[in-house]
Amino acid sequence: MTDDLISNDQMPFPTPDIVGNPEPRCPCLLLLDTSGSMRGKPIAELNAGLVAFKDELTADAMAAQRVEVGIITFGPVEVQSEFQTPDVWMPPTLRAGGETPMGEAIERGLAMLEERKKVYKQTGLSYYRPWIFLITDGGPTDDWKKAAALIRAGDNNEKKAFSLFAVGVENAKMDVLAQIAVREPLKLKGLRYRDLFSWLSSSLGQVSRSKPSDAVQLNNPVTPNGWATIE
Amino acid sequence: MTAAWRYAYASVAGTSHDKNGSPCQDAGSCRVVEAGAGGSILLAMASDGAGSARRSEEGARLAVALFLDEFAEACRERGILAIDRPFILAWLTKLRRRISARAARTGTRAGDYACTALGAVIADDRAVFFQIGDGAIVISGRQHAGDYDWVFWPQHGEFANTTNFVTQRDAARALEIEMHLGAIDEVALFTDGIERLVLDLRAKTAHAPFFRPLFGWLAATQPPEVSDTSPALLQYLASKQVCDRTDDDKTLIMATRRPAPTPATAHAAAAKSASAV
Repeated sequence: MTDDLISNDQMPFPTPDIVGNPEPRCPCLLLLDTSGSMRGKPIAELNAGLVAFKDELTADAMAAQRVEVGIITFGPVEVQSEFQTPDVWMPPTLRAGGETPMGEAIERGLAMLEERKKVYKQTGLSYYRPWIFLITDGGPTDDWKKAAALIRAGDNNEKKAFSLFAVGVENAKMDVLAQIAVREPLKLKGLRYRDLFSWLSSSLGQVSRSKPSDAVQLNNPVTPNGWATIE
Repeated sequence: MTAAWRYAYASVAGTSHDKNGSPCQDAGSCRVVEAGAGGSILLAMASDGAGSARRSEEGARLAVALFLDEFAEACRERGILAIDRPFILAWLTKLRRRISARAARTGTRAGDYACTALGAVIADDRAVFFQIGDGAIVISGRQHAGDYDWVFWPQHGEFANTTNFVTQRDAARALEIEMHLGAIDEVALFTDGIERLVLDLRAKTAHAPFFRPLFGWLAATQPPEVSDTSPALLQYLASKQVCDRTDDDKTLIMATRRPAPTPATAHAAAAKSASAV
């Protein structure tokens, strides 16, 4: 194509070499409740949602190169996936059981995110403001006050260390979630995990395309057709 | 052994803009003025209007036009020594006032005109550069011939999608200025749209195999009679090689006063760039 470029009398327009820079990264941390109450259909729907999440992220060329998924489950706290791009990330098959140590999971997740940012900085990768999705069907069974303070310290307009979204499922303690998250927690309609992850995938795709100062217009999930309600 | 300045510039709308019909929000221009006391001075400015700001293409055009007017007048009358920090700050203040006045007149906000600014003023033996926002200015290497140095690294905040604009409250604080003593024969200014194609972000260097062949080509052209977009550069910025890698608006301004390469050196430069591909 560039061979056809207009040439002047003295010298044809050259085809310069361009740099193969690594893509900027858009980290997304999932903090998932896998406590005993998730047994049966809820955990099966969550697992199916994760598989759909991978499929949709991989189908979006930009998101496939830029989004990095990390997963920590709680019941007990366990790192299921370190941050990876969707092409190499394998959705885990989660099992339900145990308590709901949400406070510990948040603290562990924020530490994992800080570690990842260090790697980005060391290797010269640029990155977008990370997203954290906290999804639970209950309430914390451990001390969550410190975790809530850490969230307030990082998820604000000055620090902008990350954006945390809390999603309650079925009998989740929405009042406690409201004290943990800065943003108003969302309530999942029924067990529509797949719709949630489909929305998350397309939203991350939008973020990973955004340019300086672009205000990313996310689809509101709180609509009659959306996956969430606000209580 | 310097020749007259030859320059080329072009701004091309990103392919994402083609899709949603929004205009190219970049602006850029270049011109050579004769200083009253003798010698010619090159003036160049590129400006990238913010994607989300509704009238940012107007902001970018205002920034470039006011730069050419004010800097050309000062350089003609008083030479490059007129371009010091207070002068650049006064230009910034005037630009912000113009934007505020236009916003007031049209019922818009100053932030709707958000844009970056990259400026270069180059005389025979000294130069002044300044920048607010992302994109970069690249000059011929001060250490090794054939290398290129950046003047300011693109201003990105912690995140890939944040930068500074002339309209923000603390724009004067974001303004970087460098006074350079000595001759500069080659300069390129470009906006964020091609930043990732021409800067090695890991090594934090300007990618010489991009700039070297383009400057070689430019040196073989004739000095433009009037300042206007370069069709060759325009076609290159709209080419598949570029658009496969960026869907953003992009502006590239290049100027050289190196002598035209002889056929032998041109051949060697072409071979060198081919081996780098």
